[in-house]
Amino acid sequence: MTIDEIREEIDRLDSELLRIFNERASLALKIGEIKKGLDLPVYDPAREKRIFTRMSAENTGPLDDQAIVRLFERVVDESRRLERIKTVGDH
Amino acid sequence: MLIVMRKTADEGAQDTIKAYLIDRGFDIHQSTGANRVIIGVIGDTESIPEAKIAAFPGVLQVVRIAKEE
Repeated sequence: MTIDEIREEIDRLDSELLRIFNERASLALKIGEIKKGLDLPVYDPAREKRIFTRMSAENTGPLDDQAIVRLFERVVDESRRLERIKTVGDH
Repeated sequence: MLIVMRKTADEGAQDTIKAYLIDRGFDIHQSTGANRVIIGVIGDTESIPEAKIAAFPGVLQVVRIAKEE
């Protein structure tokens, strides 16, 4: 493959990631609505740990497990922010 | 604001600080390194008492970001 071809493939994957991130975010918003209805806290450290553990366990590389955790930390941070907006409103 | 956790800080210590901040409406960005965890606090952190955060178990350093005028 040429560099241009590889970059085209990366662009295609980035677009797919964007779609998936937003699909995931939509689900996080639904969780926020449910938590608001049930008066549950936004922060659920046990759930967050389960996500990191599961993603590390399923990871086959070439990203190492620490990199996977760092990436999912950001995903979880942003999902939590969305949930918070849904449950208590933005500042 | 950046909160640098001690190498010896356990997950419970991190959870306590994160819960404290999230309960008060702040967004956080955690970055886990090989040796250190850094918690970035997003929002108007002026209302956060620095000394209180520093007193939480497991906190090594609290760095307040200078306000840009």
